[in-house]
Amino acid sequence: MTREEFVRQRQEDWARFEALLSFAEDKRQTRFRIRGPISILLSLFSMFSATRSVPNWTGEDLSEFSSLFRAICYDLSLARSRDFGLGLNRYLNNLVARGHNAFYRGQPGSFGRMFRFFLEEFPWLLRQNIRYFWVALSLFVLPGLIAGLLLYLKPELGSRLFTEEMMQQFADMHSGETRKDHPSAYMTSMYIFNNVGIAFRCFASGALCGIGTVCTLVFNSLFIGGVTGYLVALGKGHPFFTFAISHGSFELTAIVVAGAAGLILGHAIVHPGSLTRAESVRVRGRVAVKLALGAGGMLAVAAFIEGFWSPSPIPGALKYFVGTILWIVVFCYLAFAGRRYDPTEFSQVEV
Amino acid sequence: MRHSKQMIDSRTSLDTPEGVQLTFHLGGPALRMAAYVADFIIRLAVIVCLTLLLAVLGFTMGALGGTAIFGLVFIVVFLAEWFYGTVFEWLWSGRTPGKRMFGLRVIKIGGYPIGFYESVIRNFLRGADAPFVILYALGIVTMMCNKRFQRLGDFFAGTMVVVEERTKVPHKPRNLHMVPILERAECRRGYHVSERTLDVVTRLFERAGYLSGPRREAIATVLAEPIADRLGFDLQALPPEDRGSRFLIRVIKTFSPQDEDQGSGELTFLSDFGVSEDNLLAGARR
Repeated sequence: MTREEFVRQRQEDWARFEALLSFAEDKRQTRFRIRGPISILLSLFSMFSATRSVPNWTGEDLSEFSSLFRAICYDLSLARSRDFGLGLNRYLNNLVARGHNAFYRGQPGSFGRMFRFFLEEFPWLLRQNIRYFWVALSLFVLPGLIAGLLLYLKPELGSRLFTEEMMQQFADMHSGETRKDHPSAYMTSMYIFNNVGIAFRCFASGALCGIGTVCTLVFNSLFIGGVTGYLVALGKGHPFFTFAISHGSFELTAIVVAGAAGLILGHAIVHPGSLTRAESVRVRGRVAVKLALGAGGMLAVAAFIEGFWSPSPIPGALKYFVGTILWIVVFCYLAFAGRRYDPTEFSQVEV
Repeated sequence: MRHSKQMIDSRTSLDTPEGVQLTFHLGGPALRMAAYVADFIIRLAVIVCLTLLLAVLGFTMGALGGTAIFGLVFIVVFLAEWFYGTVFEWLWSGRTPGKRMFGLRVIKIGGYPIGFYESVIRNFLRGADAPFVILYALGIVTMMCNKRFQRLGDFFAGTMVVVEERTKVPHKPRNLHMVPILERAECRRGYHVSERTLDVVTRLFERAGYLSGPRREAIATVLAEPIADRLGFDLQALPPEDRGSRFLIRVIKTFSPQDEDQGSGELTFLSDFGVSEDNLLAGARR
């Protein structure tokens, strides 16, 4: 068979395959796996969240696509072995690449899976990697404890940790009255931007052999511990704690979780174990990013508490009470949620 | 140095389950930087527009409500920083608007489309690729250190950025009706060129877009001499600067089967030929 005969014979199939491909690539069907009244609300979001599922194909389309795909794979091998020319090779190679891409898709995401992630998978995954959490926790607590104690005993050391402006701010800040300079919604947005950003950066810098994460944790620990010790020494302990106890539950825990995620990245690259380094970072990276996303979610919750509840003029005793309950909620969530989570249920072929 | 035996190349290949080898052209740092800048401009434009919108909206709502509304700017900046690339690459099968502009696509190293988590990892780890203020310094160093041009984020996500090509079924060279055929009288020794030889010659012109004019001519000379020798054609009659190319294109015209019915297709390589059409014909008529 000459090159010309080959092209003439197969051209029709190629054109048909291309048509199917453009259909697959352009018309993606949106699909949610959730029922009930929420689905109407969710369908509003559908335009923003087209899931990447195989398009709305009939069985015939699918089997046609499948057999065409295999035939074109064969064509490519043939064109290569017969040396039918660069242009034809490239054309068939691109067809196969696009087909490969369309054919082997992952499972579509859904809101149902998102809920399952926060309710079950995230706490389950954290408990699976609890050792990283303990390391991150000690990195986040010990330096702060030392800094806090030092500043509590010797407040004059404050200038070593804070600038003059900051110290002035501390003196003015939580002085009994609540902050009314900005509305709660504004502050909430600001906290999301700032705190979630810090957590994500803390996670990301774990890729630098974990050094970035350790630095972020220790620096934040020193600062937060220092502020606490300093304010207590100034006699502003009560207003500070009433302000911080509620959102601290979600916020401080989430920072530690993000730190644990960063440490997983660092550990994967430094010590790949029995895997190759490339495989190790891929497998552990997937675990780590889930923890980081969970931490981001917790920080978003914290931002709302910090924006709306924490600065509100509510008696201190009630705030201590609610704050304690929130700490218990966070503890129970991370310790007990998703105990029956089955990691194989949503498992997909890892490619 | 596992891959030291492999040639240095901006392509990578992998085996599919169908048992065929796929080749991908990788996106290099320059192209990806260009796509990044395009994305950056888009993000900036969106942020500025929304900020102005929120500011106007805020003015109409009084001091307190206005500030509350204006706080949404933080959310916008936050989403633009962390979720612009993430969401686009997730929903658009590995492309952001900037990548689309420059024909790039993110895929898994196995050739599969990327999923949500891959997208999050490679986009979140931009923070590690671009530490401090040095623009993607570490990312570029990492890209240079592996054969798939992966930056740290790609490495952790198991992804690579490829150049997407859409090509058409290549045809035999067409629109050669302006090119004069080789007359029998010009070929003193023989009047036949084998199909294999024609294929090699054709392939040279398929590559025309990838070769510089002088380079193509250098290869054409090597090809032209034995063919001319076999045909008994006097190469010296053609002007020296591109006689190889001129001769070979006439060989194609004369001996390869033409698709006359498809003559309307556009000229594929004459424009890549480096010589204008008139110039070529003038040489051929001589």
